[in-house]
Amino acid sequence: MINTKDILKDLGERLRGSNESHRVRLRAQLAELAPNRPLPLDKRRLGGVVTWLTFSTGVMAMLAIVIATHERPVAYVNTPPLDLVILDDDQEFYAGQGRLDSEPNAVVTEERDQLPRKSVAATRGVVDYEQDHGSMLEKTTTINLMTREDDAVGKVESLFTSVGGHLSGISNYGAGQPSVLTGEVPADSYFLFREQLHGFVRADRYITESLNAQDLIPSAIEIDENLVGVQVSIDELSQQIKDTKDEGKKTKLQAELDKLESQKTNLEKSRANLTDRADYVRVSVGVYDLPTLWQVDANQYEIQRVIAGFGTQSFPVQAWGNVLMVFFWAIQLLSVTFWLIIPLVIWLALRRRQRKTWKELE
Amino acid sequence: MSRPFLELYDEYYPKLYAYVLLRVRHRQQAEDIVQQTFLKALDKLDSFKPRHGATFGSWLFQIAKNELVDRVRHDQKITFCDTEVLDQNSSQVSTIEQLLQAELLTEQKEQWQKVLCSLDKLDDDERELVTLKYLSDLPYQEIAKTMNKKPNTLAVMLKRTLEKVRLDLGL
Repeated sequence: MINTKDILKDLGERLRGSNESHRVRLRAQLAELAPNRPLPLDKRRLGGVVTWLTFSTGVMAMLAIVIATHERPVAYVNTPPLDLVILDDDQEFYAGQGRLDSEPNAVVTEERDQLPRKSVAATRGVVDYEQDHGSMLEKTTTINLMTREDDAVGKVESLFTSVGGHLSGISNYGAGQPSVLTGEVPADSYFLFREQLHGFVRADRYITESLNAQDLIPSAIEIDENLVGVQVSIDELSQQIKDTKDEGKKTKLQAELDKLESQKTNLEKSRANLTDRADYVRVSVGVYDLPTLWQVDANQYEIQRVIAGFGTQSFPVQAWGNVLMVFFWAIQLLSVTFWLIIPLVIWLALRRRQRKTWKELE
Repeated sequence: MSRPFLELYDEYYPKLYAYVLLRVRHRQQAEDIVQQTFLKALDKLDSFKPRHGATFGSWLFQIAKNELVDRVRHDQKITFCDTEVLDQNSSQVSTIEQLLQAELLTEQKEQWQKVLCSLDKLDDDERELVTLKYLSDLPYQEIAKTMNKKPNTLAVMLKRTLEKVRLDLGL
């Protein structure tokens, strides 16, 4: 069945081709006047919105490259994220943190994996000792903290007195160097003291919550373990001496037994000393100023941070770097959105609507 | 992107001629108008600025429409429905055979005559829309620009117009 459209199309086709002779004549005439004359280019595009969009996008891209090139790269370390701002530092057992060597600017870094593990108490005597005296009362503890608090030294000082301890001295090494507070804290209050230090640092809005340091290894436990070992050896040797009839061999065994007895005596003395000192923990607190990124050179900050024992990764610098990067990318996103995505979406929407309309018309 | 003028001429001559011929109903006059339109277009080619999606086609048809306004007298218009009362003094033609200057099959002649008569009964805008779309075979984009109407409006108008023609033809 022929519909209206088909009739109209047939008629149109016939009409369009109904005057070929005139078309050829006119073409020849026009060819003389304008042989291959091209249409002018779209001048508006040369200086219009399209060009400005392209130009602006190019400028923004260049700006992004320049800023990205000059942006201080954020360094990442292999160690676990160190939001570490307070550290119980023990000369023997702590590792993975940078320390100041005898040379002022030399930093010794030990591997984290070399951290020794706390030995397990295996004897009843040691367990009893831990129950009576705790397991970490025998060490001189060094704590380093870094803060922006104006009166950090005063606050740490008041902490000593608040837990019933006493401050024996404050050393101030000048600008850029830590103030070191040394004193003693009652053994029973040591945990409280450390908790308050943590809380004090936590209150600093620039610093995240600190990681707990490793527990101290109890020397008393080691001594007790050694004592047990020595006692076992003494018992065995004593038994061998009784059983041996050879006088020469007996003399040698007796000499070894004497050595063990001497060793046992020394261990018992050490143990007695520890017990005597168990009432107080000697504490040294190093207070470092935490500068802002705007106040100091980043390298200086890094060195200061490493000296303070906080590793090579500086959280605040990284945080500021992240903030800057987020800010930077936010600007980029806005720029791209404004100059590229929004016009593109509008253009696509209009085109889609137009095509839909054309389709409907068909 | 530029295209040689003659290439555009080859593309648009048949379309423009069909459009003008339907408007003036006179072959010689249509030829003159089409010729004048292309000459003007060539002359003013430098002033052609394809803004807001305007194309060469829509610009060309706009020139043609201006020419038609200057030359066609509406009071002299004879419709294709007036074959029996053709004015002998008129230069216009009222049959499709006269328009095409060709012999047609009876069935086709009657069919096309009816269609043209039906188009004559439409409003000016409706007739122009159907003419541009089916007789001149212009793309919709150019029709929208030529008629200065929104595509949505054209869509509705075309649908209604075709329905009118269909009913008038009894299809």
